Amino acid sequence: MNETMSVTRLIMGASPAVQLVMLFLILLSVISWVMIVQRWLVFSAAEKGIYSFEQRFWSGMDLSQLYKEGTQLHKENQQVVGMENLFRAGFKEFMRLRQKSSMDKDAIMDGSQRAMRVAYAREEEKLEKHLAFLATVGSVSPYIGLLGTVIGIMNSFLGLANQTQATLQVVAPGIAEALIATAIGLFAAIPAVIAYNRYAAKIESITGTYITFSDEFSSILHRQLYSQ
Amino acid sequence: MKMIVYNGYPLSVFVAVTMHSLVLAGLLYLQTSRTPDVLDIVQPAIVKAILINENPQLRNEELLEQQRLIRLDDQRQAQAAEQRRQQTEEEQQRRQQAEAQRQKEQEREQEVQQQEERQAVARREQQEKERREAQLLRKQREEQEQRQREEQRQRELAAEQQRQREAASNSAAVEVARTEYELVQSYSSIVHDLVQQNWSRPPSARNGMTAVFRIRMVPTGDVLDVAIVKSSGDPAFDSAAERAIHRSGTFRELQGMPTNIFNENFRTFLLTFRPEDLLN
Repeated sequence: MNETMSVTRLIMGASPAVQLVMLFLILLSVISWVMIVQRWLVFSAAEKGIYSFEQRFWSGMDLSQLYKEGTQLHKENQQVVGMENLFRAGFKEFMRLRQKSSMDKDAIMDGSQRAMRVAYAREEEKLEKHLAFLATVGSVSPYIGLLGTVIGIMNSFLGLANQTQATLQVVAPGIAEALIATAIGLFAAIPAVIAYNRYAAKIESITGTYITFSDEFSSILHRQLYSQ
Repeated sequence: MKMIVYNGYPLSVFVAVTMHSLVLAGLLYLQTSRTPDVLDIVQPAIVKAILINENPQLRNEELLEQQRLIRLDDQRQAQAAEQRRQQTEEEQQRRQQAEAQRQKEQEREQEVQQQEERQAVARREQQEKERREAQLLRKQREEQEQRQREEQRQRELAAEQQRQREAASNSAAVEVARTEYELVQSYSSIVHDLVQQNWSRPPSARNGMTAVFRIRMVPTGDVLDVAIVKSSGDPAFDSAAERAIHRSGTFRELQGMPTNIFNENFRTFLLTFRPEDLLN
């Protein structure tokens, strides 16, 4: 009983059920961190894309020229992100519908707006991917940790029942071992919750920018259509 | 964007795994570097509570030893007195003899003086005779002395033998007592273990407390009654100890004990309760 008491020793000496819970929680933590980093990369790429595309868009460049540049990028197998996709979808539909002489102007506008809405939905879906997972980890892993703790404390009290003398030394290791499960659960949950809240706010702002842009773009198209 | 190859998954997996291993390594490092000084405080050594009882066997032995010593002392004193008395007697005898001799000599001298004129011739003869007699006397005295010395030596020898015999019988007794003592020890440790298993100490128990109980038992191992001899001052502690004895109930293990040992040691015996491993 007089050996060194350390967290590692406690984890190694824990009962299989508690160890399973701990392993599961560590796995959850790793996966949620993968999601956090990956989402962070995606969001920063989207923001960078918004910034660079808006600069190009408002620089007074010809729209068909902008569209051709995007096609060039696509051919080079480089990803076209966020706002440019919106622009490409709307402009493509606009050009295609305008070439048909039978189309009236409202129908052209409607078609272009619908195409942009679809592209927007796709972009939003891309952004929100994995966010539900983060939310789940954030809310569930404390409970899983608690389950491990309850199992551990249960075991330690079962052991206590066989002892004649109820000393602190008999119960303490079991309880400490059980509490480690809760600690790991919280360790997994806290970053996930923080990341989820942060990313939800970011998605809100990015999608807001997209909506504004699509409105602005459709107003430009509208002007082009009716000024002729 | 070039940065997110395969949607950035490889990079994020790498980052997450390295972060977790870093955290784990940091935790391990902290544990290993911090354990030595924390250890002494966190982990007090567990000492089983020890029941100490006053061993009647030991006390008996001590008493016996004391008695034996006293007896030996008495014997030695008596011997010394005897010797002294004998010596004084001998001295007296010798003095008496010397006195008688002197008287005889005086008589003889008178006779010699009376007969000097009459027997001038016979004087030389007389002198010769005297010398012979003196020689004889000396021899006699020497013989007596030798005899006395012999006697003394024999007496000493006898005393030595007596002492040796006594020592031998003593060591045999010690041997017997030791095996008996071991037997008693083993039986009392059985009793201790049983009582200790049934002893649950109240939270008010402190390290310095001592409660002594007198237990009366019959050879079947049944406890007749339990009486408190010395209270610990804490009624909860006392009653817990008494409950432990009652809960142990019948000591079946004591049934095979030789009757004389049982009567000497376990018919009534004292049991002391003293918690020694508590933290407070």
